[in-house]
Amino acid sequence: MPDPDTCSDVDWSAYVFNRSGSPGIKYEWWCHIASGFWFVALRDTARDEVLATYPAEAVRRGLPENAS
Amino acid sequence: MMYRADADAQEWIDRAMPLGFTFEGREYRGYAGDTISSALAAAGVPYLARSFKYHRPRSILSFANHDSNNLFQVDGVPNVRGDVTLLREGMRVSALNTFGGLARDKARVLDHFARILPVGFYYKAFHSKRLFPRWERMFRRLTGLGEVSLDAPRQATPKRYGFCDVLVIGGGPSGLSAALAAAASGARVALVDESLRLSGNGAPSSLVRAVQDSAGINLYPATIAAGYYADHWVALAQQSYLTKMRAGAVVFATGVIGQPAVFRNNDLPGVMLASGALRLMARHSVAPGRRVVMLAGNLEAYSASLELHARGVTIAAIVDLRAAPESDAAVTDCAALGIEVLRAHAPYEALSGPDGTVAALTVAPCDSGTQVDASSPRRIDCDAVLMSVGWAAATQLFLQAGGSTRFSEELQQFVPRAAPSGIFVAGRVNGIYNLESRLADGRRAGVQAAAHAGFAVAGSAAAAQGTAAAHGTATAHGSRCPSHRYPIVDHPLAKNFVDFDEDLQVKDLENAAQEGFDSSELLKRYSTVGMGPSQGKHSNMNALRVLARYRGVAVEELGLTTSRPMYHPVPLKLLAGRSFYPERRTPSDAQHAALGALWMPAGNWRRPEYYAVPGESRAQSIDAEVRAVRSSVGLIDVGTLGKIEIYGPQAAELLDRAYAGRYSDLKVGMTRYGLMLDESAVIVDDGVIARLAPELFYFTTTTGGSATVFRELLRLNALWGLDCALVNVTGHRAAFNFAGPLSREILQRLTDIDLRDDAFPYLAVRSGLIAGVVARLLRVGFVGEVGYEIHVAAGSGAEVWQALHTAGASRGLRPFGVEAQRVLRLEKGHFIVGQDTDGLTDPQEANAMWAVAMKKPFFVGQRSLRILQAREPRQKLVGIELAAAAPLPKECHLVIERGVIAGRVTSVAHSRTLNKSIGLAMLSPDLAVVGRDIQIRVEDGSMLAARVAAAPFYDPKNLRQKPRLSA
Repeated sequence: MPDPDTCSDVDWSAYVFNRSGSPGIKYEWWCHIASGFWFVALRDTARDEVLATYPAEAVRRGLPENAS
Repeated sequence: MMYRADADAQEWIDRAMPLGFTFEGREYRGYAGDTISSALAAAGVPYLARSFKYHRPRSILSFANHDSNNLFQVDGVPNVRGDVTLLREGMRVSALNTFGGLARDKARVLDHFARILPVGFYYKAFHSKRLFPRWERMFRRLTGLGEVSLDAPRQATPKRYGFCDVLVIGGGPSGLSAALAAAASGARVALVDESLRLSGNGAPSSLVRAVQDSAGINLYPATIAAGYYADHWVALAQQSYLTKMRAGAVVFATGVIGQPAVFRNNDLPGVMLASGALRLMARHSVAPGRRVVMLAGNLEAYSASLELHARGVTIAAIVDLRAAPESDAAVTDCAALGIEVLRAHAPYEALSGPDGTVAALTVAPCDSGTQVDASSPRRIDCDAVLMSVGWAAATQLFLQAGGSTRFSEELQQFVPRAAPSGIFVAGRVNGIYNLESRLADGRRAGVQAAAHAGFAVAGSAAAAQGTAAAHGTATAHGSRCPSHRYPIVDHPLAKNFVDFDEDLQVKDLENAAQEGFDSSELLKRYSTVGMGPSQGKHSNMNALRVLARYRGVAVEELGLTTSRPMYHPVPLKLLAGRSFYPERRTPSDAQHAALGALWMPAGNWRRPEYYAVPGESRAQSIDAEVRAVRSSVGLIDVGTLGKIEIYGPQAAELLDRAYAGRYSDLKVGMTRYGLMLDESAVIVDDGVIARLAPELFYFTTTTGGSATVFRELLRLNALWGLDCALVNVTGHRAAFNFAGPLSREILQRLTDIDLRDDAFPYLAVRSGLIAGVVARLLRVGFVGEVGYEIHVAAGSGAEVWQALHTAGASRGLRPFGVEAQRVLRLEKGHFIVGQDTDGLTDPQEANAMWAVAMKKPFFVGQRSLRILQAREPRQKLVGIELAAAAPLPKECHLVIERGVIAGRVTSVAHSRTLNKSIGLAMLSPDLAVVGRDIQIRVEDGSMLAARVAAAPFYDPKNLRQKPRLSA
């Protein structure tokens, strides 16, 4: 998330609305419903292959930039 | 004409058990073990169906349960698959898609109008707006297969769940040997085959027996693997249920599908696939005819001729499209029997006899591209034409699984190129035709699949790695090519069908390509080739060949169309299965029922819409419920609201960030309205947030939003890493709103909590006992009267409802439902999220900025709201009024200003309290001025006058919540 206090309107709008939906390697939020546990998966949506998973804290620290 | 041949030891029928049935009203006899198709064929019924478009007579093509010719209406059930449905005594069978019966079908006249039904006819016809209604009426009458009986009994078809290490799809030689090899490795194997009996399809009988006897193999006969889904999840469609099979690895031994030759009148009854004729003969002892012509494009034509000859069928001639057949024993055996073989000859036209079935075939010399010299065709009299010109690999499921294929010019079929992890292919679909090689390929695939599933056998590693590349190599299939390159013959008068389901001729495909639809995907969509019940099993390959020739490119360059589930038509009842839609009921549900509640769905709950009282109309009951709340007291079950507790040092911080309002400064013992936005500042939920202790909050969400709000709060809490925790107590707590001018007085008698205004002011929250039950009381004003939301443990819900109801009974209490509550809140001008707001409404538009604390450092939606604040709002939610006598518009009726849509009504009701009709409307800002006249367009197109009014309509200054007015 860009810093809401300093970023431009254009950058903010891009963050809120513009996502690439094309098949490829994406970060996705997943929730294990039974336990309410949220985590992030790095998944190749073209091949339906989960490449890595991260706890939510990792998002705060910043995820590696390997998603398209 | 087909007939029943002499008995054979291997046949599936029991000649000692005759069965009577009717077809099109006439009586016939078959035997136990017959299918509908085989019994009709054996009875010599000339044709069984009318084609979809031209209503041409049709009969058996594949006898593989693939083609659409053998679908029937049976005892009221449509689209029964005749090839595989066993005959029963007394069955009443009729043909589909006829107007006045099979023989006298009035629509058969359409056959003569083929020229004015060009390819893409629908698109062309529907293009004109003026003619659309006429075409639509005609098409709706003419199209579709079968008739659904609307009073058919509802049958529950529960799904089953299956698990195995290795799933083998296909019960031919390679599938059987794969299953046996995988089981030998120790894997639990499931073997699926679409035939009614596991016959091995040419495999040695010892192998069939070994598979049947293997403890490690579960057999699924008469089962279709209909779809492949992620992680080796395969939908298995059986007669009366669907099995969801999860496998560790999958072997596709799906084989190949016999392909027709394309020539004029190739759809006449009596023209069929040689593979189908062999199946009919072997299983049901039904002969295709007494004197048949075999069309040959491969070696199988010769072995089929020998098999049929052995059962007493005369082979009039073998017409071989090729200049030279293979050097093989089958070819020399045919010659030895004196069967005439016409080399480099092609079928030119099939001719029909008086009963509409094939009576002769004309043949003519041809070149290697099947271009015929039709100057002097030769006529061969016959009563059946069998086609053995090629195969199409059944790669559909493999492609669904993410496999890729390439077109092998050498084999003239698609073969696997790359398989995803855990997917293995064996046998003819792998391009391997020689029986020994198919068995070996199956073993290899079985061992590999078992190893993938964790059942590696020592010493098999080499086998598991070595032979994966076998497909498509010359050594595997010998020097022969199983499929002819172009088994398609042009004719000036056409009627040479490529797709029998959709009645598509060669010229239709060429015209489609000429009109620009010249890729395989476009050709399919425009011409509908491959879109009928057989899903292109007999047409896609030939259509590709026609298109490739038209464009002058290789088949490989065109490629197959995308394969999607289902591979084979599956009855909807198998997919629908049971309804698992849960319906939640509140703890006092039984009391509502006893009070005459009429139910309505709310989220996944059922809630009383209103309580019906004998002698009152619906409107009168709702009015009386409203009146009770306004004049004495009403009681409503609000236990369906989402209820969440949050505790911890940073609980207030989480709420401050997740909701638009501020909660860090909320005093213990007080509540505050909560408005939740998404990151684009759209209103997504609302509720009441109560602070029970410095680090403990209790709050409600909308009925429909409880699960998603709770889930999103969990996500935000995980993301932000705050020191607090959330519990969803929606189902743990019952809740009632007890509201009306008398509510305080009546409730005081049930509770130890001091309800006096100074002790328990508006918007406060208190804990104590109600009728002896521990309760939380929230003083709320949703319906505009003094009211208490009473939250108790779910187990005490029924008891507390009863106590409240009894306490108010003598004072005019009425329980009220959702409808009355809607009127009450509308009088107060409160919006309902999701009804008065939609997926684009921000707080400015909904006049809810009072609930937003823009000065907070951060909350979800704040940044977007700042951007929106700098702009003119697009719309405004305002109150509207209509004269009491005016008819009520409906929610979602449009507001029209100078012929243009300028808004819509979001809520509307007649208010007896105010003696007028009131509502809320989302209007463009220029109209959203109190006193402005607006026009609402109602259903019949007429306009209704309304006026923008100030909301709240009732008690605008909220005096009823103020201490001085309440005693």
